Amino acid sequence: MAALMEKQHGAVPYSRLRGGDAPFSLPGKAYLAPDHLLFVRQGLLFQRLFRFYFRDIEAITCRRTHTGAWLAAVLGLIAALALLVGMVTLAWGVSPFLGGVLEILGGIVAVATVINIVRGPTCVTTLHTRVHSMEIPCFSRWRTAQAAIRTLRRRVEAVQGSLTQEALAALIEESSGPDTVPRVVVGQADGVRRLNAEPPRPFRSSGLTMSAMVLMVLFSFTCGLTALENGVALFLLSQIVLALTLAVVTLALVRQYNTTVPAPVHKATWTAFLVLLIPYMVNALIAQFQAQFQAPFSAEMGFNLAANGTYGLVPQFIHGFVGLVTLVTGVVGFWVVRLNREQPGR
Amino acid sequence: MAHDVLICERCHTFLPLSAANRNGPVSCDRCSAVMTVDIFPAAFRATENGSDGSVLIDSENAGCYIHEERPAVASCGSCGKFLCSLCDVALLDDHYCTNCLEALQADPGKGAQLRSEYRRWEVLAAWLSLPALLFMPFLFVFFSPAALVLAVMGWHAPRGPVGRPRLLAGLLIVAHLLLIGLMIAFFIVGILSVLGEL
Repeated sequence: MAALMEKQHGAVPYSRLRGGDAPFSLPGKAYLAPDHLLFVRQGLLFQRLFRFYFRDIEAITCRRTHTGAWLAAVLGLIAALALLVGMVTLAWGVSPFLGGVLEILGGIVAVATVINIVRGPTCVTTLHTRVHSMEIPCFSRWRTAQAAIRTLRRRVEAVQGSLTQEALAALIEESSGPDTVPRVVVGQADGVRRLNAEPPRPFRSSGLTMSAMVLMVLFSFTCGLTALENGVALFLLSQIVLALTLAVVTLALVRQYNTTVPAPVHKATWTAFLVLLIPYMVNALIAQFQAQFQAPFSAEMGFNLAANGTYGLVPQFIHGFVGLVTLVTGVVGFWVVRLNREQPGR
Repeated sequence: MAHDVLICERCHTFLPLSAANRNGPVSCDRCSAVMTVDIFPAAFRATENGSDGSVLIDSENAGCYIHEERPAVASCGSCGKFLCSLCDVALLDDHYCTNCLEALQADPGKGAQLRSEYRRWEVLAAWLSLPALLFMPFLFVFFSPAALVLAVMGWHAPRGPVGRPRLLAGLLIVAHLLLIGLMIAFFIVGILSVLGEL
């Protein structure tokens, strides 16, 4: 394989780094070359490459986080609720369809919970060079990250030599002379020494992202109205607002690509995108039921929009829930974007 | 540099020196965050001084193709132009001028090592296909031709230094060709049946 790649590209043979290719990890993959680490970040439409030469790596830090535990708790709760409600619905014979869907969804979420627990605690791994520090998202699990760091350490030490704690102390003492530019500030209000705040970065998609968040709030209101007062007109209105919002959020994501957009804003936009996909899918499902199942079956299920101009209790409940989730996401996203817009020096 | 990494990433307080290079995790005294810190000799390497902005001192020295007043230090490995220390880009065991460097990036061979971004058209094709396939099959009339074009673009796109399987692009091309064929067949059958009724 390596020989084939060399022949194809006249280039370096790469081998996958253990831990750099974890299953279900979308952020990317890591590969080892004889003299550098290649990190491949997988975007939605793009694949970006980052090379870290072993001679340039100054430090590797890895910090354990609680994200995995929170994720397990939230997923476990959702799975338990879905399975419980599904079982009750099936046992009481309220709606075999809804019960079946909830059981399947609960099962999928339960499997995801188990996988998350098996993969172990999460962490944040950062590579530091002279010019930048970069978080490597594919090393996000403590066990695999530690294995990858061990491999990397061997490679880096083979190029640069190893550094004992005594040698490190001497070098730090030597580099802290009077001519050294201080890179930390001393004496904050709480008496704790902190790093200088990171300088603000340009943010190009603020207008679009802000519009997207405003539209999300608007969509949540139309959802709320649809949940209160069912009818074809409101249903169509919510669909138009949804389509517009989804388009603006997608545009904001495209605009944010390859810019130094602050991470919270990027995360908020992605969350908005994913949250909006849910009503999109739900509405598509409703439309499918309209098309494929006619009364009396769909009337029993509450999907008979065409027959009597209403679409029943279950979709109303879903719309209400979706509207609430969208409202929360939109307001939080709005707040995050506003905070970032108010950064000094933009 | 060592100052920057010997700081807890969570609460931004200083860590003791013993926290670094200990082959195992350490806890922050203030926030109890568990972490490992590995520092390498490059953190203390002195920054190399750049070359100075010397000017031509006599008429016997060759000048740069772009900056005539500056002495040439290398010639471009591709076009042969003389380059001064400002214009010279040392790369892949050779020297290049900026124009040839841009041309090199487009080269599928050596350029693969220089490019840092690859488009994944086949993923966009899959994104176009999946929702329509699962929820709104009638949308295929519009989406299928677009997805086919994108999948073909994905098939022909450069693979990158680590390679990229063409499986997804291939599957999408086959699936959408079949779908378009089916749509055309249905259309023809529909037209024929209408004509037959007339």
